[in-house]
Amino acid sequence: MASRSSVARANNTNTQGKICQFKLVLLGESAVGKSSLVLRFVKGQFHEYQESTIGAAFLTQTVCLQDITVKFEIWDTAGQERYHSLAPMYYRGAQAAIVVYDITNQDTFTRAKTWVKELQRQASPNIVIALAGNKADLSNKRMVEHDVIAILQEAAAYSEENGLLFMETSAKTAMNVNDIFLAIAEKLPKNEAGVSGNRPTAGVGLAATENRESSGKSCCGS
Amino acid sequence: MATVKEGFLCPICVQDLGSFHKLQNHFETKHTAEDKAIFDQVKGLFSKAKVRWLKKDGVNENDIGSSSSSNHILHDAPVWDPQEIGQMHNHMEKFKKIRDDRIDRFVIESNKVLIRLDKLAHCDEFEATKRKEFEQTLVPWVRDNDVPYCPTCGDRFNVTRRRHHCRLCGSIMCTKCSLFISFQFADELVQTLRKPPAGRRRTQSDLNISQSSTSKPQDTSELYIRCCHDCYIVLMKRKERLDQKENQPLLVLLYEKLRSATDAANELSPLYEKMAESLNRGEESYHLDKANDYRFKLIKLYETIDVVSKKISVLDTEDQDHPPSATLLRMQNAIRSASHAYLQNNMLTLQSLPSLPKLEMLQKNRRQEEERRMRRQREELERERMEEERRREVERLRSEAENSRVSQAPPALQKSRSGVILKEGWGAESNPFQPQGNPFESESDPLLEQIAYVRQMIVQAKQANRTEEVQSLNRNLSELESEFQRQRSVRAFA
Repeated sequence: MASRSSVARANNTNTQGKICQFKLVLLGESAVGKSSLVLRFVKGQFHEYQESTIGAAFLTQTVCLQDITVKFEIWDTAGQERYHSLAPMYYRGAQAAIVVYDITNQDTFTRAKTWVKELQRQASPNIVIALAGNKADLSNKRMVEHDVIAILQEAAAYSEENGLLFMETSAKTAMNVNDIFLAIAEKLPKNEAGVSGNRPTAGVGLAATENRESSGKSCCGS
Repeated sequence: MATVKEGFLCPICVQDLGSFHKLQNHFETKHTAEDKAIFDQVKGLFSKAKVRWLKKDGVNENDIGSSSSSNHILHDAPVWDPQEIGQMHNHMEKFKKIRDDRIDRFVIESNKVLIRLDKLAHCDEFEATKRKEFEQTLVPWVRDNDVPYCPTCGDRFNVTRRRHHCRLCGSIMCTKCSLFISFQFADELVQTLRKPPAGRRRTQSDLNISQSSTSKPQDTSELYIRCCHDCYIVLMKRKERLDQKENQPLLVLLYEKLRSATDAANELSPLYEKMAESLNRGEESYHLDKANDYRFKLIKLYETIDVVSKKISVLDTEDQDHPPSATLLRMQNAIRSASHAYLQNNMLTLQSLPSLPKLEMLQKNRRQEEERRMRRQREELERERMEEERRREVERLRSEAENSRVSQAPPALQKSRSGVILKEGWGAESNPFQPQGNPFESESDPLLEQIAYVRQMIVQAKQANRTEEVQSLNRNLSELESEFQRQRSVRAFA
């Protein structure tokens, strides 16, 4: 049922029939701009005074590559410490993750690194991780200039080392926002098995998680 | 007893050959056809032993002949592994069968004899011929002609050496070999057969006592029951057993007392422990008086155990004439040390009871604690109810907001380097709990908040006709719920 409807929609927009659905999770220190980033990507909006997220918000967005339609199921987690216990439930079984930090704040980068470490240890082994240095628009102000550059260099090196996608983004100016999602979409393994519709439409709890994981594996198993 | 053989024994025919070389010769010539394995083993052993000997004693055949040196081979030989236990067979059943048969036979025999004795002892007939007739109805007498010699002493019966019959089995013997049982003794033996056992003695038995004690009866054969040696032994055995039953040794009596005290203490102590524990916790299910009473009883019992076991340990040790045997002494000491250990385990660990004022304090504390717990539970219930209400309120607000919602900016088709964003994606409205400044505060479970939020999102997704999103959200909801259940059970067990 679900697959048919999405296929239909894909056809309506004149793209080829393949639809891949991926679970993506956003992680990072609070107030680095995770929600803003997603809001920009999903709705094209930006709020100067974005309220802090409670728990985890859920959004979806569809992206069209050359011949494949990629549908992102985005879980935007809250950065506040008290919601950290929820995070594993969302990155478990996720095929992609964006770890966000604030380029003007060294501490958020440190926290981002621990998130990456946690993902590498706990999340599914084939997860695509992107590191997003958000609030890039502030880099023009250069409040503590050499700090910003130092973080940038370190982040680039760190991403290189750990095989992460890395971009500096700005939700405010929409700089690199779509690009980072598209880069993820391109990097995600897509084959016949990964085509939409193989996702379980029924089944709950653990079984559903397992199925999802297995579909993720078969995605890149070839 | 098994005898230990030593010397130059052939391992197969166990013949002592006297010297090493003779043995080797004998073995090689006589037993070559025997099992090859044994042969090799033994041969190996011998050659090893030979090397040892040659080193030690030189090649002196005569010298080796002594059996003492031959021990060396057997002990030093590394060839012999410890033997396994061979075929085993349990003969218990067979033994029991034989034993039961014997016991049955003995019991039947002795019962027969006793029944006859009983009848004889309580026969009111004293006239000689009639009594004889009566006696012969009890047991057929052996005919005089069949027995020419006394079976006990082997002397020939003649005019002077008359035949006499055992009144209990009817066999024949001479006067010399006859044994007599007094009526009193007979009465004692058979009394236990009758119920009530120790009842009134028969008048004629009383008569017999007076007769046997004071005036010698005119005719001994009539007032005593004549019996043969075999029957006498049967009766004596019974007497012995009766005595054993009645006059138990002091040690046994003391030990029984000790046992009964121990049993009583064992029965009482768990009860007391339960009471003491409960009282020390400040519960009110038991009375302090009753517990004190129990404690007193227990201590009394422990004292008894101490005293009696001490008595047992020194029992008869003062007796110079009949000192207790080493085994007996060891047993007595073992009883004492076991009792000592028991007391150490039980008496010294006996819980003390709280004093009355302390008990009152404990009980007060407990009551307060109980009240606090109740209050907490009530508060929890209250909070749950409040949360429920709040959620309903939020839902109401949410639907209001939904109705008055202004459509957002038109969907934007955005071009990008390598791909196209199709149209505006879907996202749940930001958490509706937000504007009210997070009403849950920090004490509520983030997981519960999230569950409520996901439910909210499902409603929104349904309104937007987003079936796929609804499915994803439902999956997440069930994950969250099972996680919540898991955490709760973990907490419950913690």
